[in-house]
Amino acid sequence: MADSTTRILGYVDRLSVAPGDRLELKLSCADVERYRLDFVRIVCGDPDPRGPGLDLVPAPSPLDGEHRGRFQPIDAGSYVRFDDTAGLPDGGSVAAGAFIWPTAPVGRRETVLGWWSEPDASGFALEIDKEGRLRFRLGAGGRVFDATPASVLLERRWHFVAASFAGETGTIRVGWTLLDPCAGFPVDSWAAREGAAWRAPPPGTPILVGAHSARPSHGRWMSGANYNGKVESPVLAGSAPDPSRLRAITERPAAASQEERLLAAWDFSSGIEGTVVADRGPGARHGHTVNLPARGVTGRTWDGSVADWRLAPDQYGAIHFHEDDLHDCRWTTDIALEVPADWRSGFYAARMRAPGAAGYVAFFVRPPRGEANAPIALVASTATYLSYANTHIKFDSLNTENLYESLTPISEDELYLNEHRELGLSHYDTHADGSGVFYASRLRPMLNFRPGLYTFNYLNDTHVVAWLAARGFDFDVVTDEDLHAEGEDLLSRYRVVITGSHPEYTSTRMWDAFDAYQRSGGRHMYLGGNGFYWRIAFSDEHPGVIENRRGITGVRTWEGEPGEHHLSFTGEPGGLWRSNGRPPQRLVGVGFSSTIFNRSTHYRRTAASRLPRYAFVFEGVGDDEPIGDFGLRGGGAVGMEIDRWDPALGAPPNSVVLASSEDIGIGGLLSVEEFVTTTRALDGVQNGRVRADMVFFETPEGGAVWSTGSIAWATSLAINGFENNVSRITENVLRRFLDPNPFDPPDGGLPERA
Amino acid sequence: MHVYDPADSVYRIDPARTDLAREFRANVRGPHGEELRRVLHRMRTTPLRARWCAIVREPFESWVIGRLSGVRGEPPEVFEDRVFTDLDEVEWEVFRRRWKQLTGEELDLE
Repeated sequence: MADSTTRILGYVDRLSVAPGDRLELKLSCADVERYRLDFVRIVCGDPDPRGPGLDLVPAPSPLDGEHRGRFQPIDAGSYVRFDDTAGLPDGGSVAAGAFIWPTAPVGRRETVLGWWSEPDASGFALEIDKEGRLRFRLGAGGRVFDATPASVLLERRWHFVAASFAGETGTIRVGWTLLDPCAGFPVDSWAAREGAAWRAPPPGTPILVGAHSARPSHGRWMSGANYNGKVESPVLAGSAPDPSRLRAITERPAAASQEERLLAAWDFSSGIEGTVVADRGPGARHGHTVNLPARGVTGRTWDGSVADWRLAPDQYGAIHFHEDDLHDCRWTTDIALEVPADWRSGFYAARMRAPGAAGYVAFFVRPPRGEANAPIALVASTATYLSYANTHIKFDSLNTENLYESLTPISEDELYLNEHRELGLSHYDTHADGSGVFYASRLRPMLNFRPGLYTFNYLNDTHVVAWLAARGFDFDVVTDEDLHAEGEDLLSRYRVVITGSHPEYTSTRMWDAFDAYQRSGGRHMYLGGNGFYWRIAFSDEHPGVIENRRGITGVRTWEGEPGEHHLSFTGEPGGLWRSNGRPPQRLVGVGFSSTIFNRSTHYRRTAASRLPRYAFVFEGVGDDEPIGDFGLRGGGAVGMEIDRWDPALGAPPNSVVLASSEDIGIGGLLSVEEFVTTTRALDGVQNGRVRADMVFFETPEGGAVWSTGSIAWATSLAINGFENNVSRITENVLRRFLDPNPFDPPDGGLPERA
Repeated sequence: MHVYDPADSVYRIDPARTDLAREFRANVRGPHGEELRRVLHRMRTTPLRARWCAIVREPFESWVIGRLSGVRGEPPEVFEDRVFTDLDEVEWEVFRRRWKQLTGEELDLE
């Protein structure tokens, strides 16, 4: 039996480290008491025996050896936490009001808001019971009192919800009013009961919106009864106003009288970019979001007049919570490594082994800051690896088998992810309530971002690493995150910058860095497909996270909600770069056209490729030989996701198609943004846009760009011991790109046409 | 909210068209003719609950058939009784089972 890959899990505090940096490794072992640790530099991370095979070079460290394993829990589910509970009543009158838009009201207990300790059964909580009914629960330590209106809440409809407890009479009142009444459905539903009591939960119990304080696990505080849905404008009062007064206070907290004792009025419409949640009440009980609930989402007053939360924050006063949101596992550190000075830049992993178990945690060693140790930088597409991290599409998405046109076997890692939803989701997933996932964090174990069986992105890029090593090129590795942080300055130290098989996710600063580098004499080799496709955001306020909004076009596994296409981290419109005026063709000459997962095919040279100007690309390659009619993924170099040249989409006027795909066939399918009316001719047999183009163009100051336009290019490099025409062409281009002699653009800026 | 519904896959597989099954048997990975593509699309759009799947037993060596639970967090049912050493054989076996499931008739090519 192969070693289990899920018994030892972990992550690192930072993905990219330089020699001398401190790297913290956080691990959790379900049942492994002792493990052996070492570190490896990854030459190839793909164990497929048909390819170059797993190639790991030991990277000795002083920490190599046996270490003790232990279990660390994960507290998934988002909420807002308010720790300032000073002056809250202990057992007296109290009221809560809010607007809610529940997205999964039936099936499990959920807490909308409260000051409740589950282990002590004390405090108060406004909940939804598992039948989908609102409930107000009070606890006096062992004695629980609640009231539940008879009608169920409506999914994805706005309700005003209210609950109160009158200390003098012991009366609970709880209910809701529908903001958008539906014929035949009750407009409101209320309940009351007498003889209730409550007392304050133990000191240190926070007020929470979207969860309650659950039983601790392994000594750690945990949230529980996590809510799915939106909440807007929650208020607390130290009195028991009637429902109409409570609604007036919820709508306008300033309307609260002295006697109504407003305790808190939280405003989710400010600080949307960050984690701080402001209290407009007299106590200024500001709080913070935990586990990245969705912000910059439409509230109850959104009317379609704006689509950008920056223009009308009051229409974006809601936060959308999910039971399966996760930012940071907050595990304590097991191993703290000072990165040895002699570790060369590259793809690395910590490796933990025990009898029957083996685990990897991936990271990258970059050159010392401000330095380059080689003329070539390979940009590890960490934003892509992160975006796909822990994808559940084989379990949750109806169309996965159609997309891949095969069963795509489920691995141990994928089985584990299905059963351990606390490890969080990818940008390809939907939350348990069906809404799309905006945020992906690396502060958690990422089971498909490491050597293993997931044959996309990370693994494919290690084929480029293996190729560079096999051909004897010295190179540094930098990551998308480094590039976002340091911009063009990072790239400017290199004669050649290589992007890998699938640099799909790009922040504005990343795009601008590539663009500035290319315009100042830089040489960029883009060895992939579907690159520079989605606009994402990083944020200093949310370390280790990227945000992505799926927008209304592009190949997606879910579609964003109306009014929710702007990134909460930056306010920028999200979606495709093409929708944002920067088609990938503008940057690299080609842009996404099609998927082709059933098999891969090859390129054929164009007439233009035979002009002397471009001869360097094809040295040693025949005029008419097919290029890449072999490969590890689908048997060809044109496959999976492919890009085409198009001057109408901004391909530079001097850009030239040197080769194009051939025999695409029925498996090639045009991407959504490539057609505007549905026809019967969207496949590769009928539609010429379903193709990959290999493109070259010169850039200002003697620079150049060369793009392959296909994900499968990278996984054809190693065929026949790296002796093949894909390898040869890549090497020809790299050698010329390393040559400092400037590239001169054609006279008049336009290319020679054959 | 955009939601896929397996009930929207309405193509009816004609159990008399065993020629299509033979086409698949002879060329599991395709490309396939138009009518067989329709059959496969119908089969691959079955509900996630009880959907047949392939599960890795030994990486690159052996696989077994499973059925998804369709419920997040709940594991698939795994059938260890038959171990496959060729993924195309898994595809074929799943094709046979889906044929029965969708047409009500056993697929008999003898």
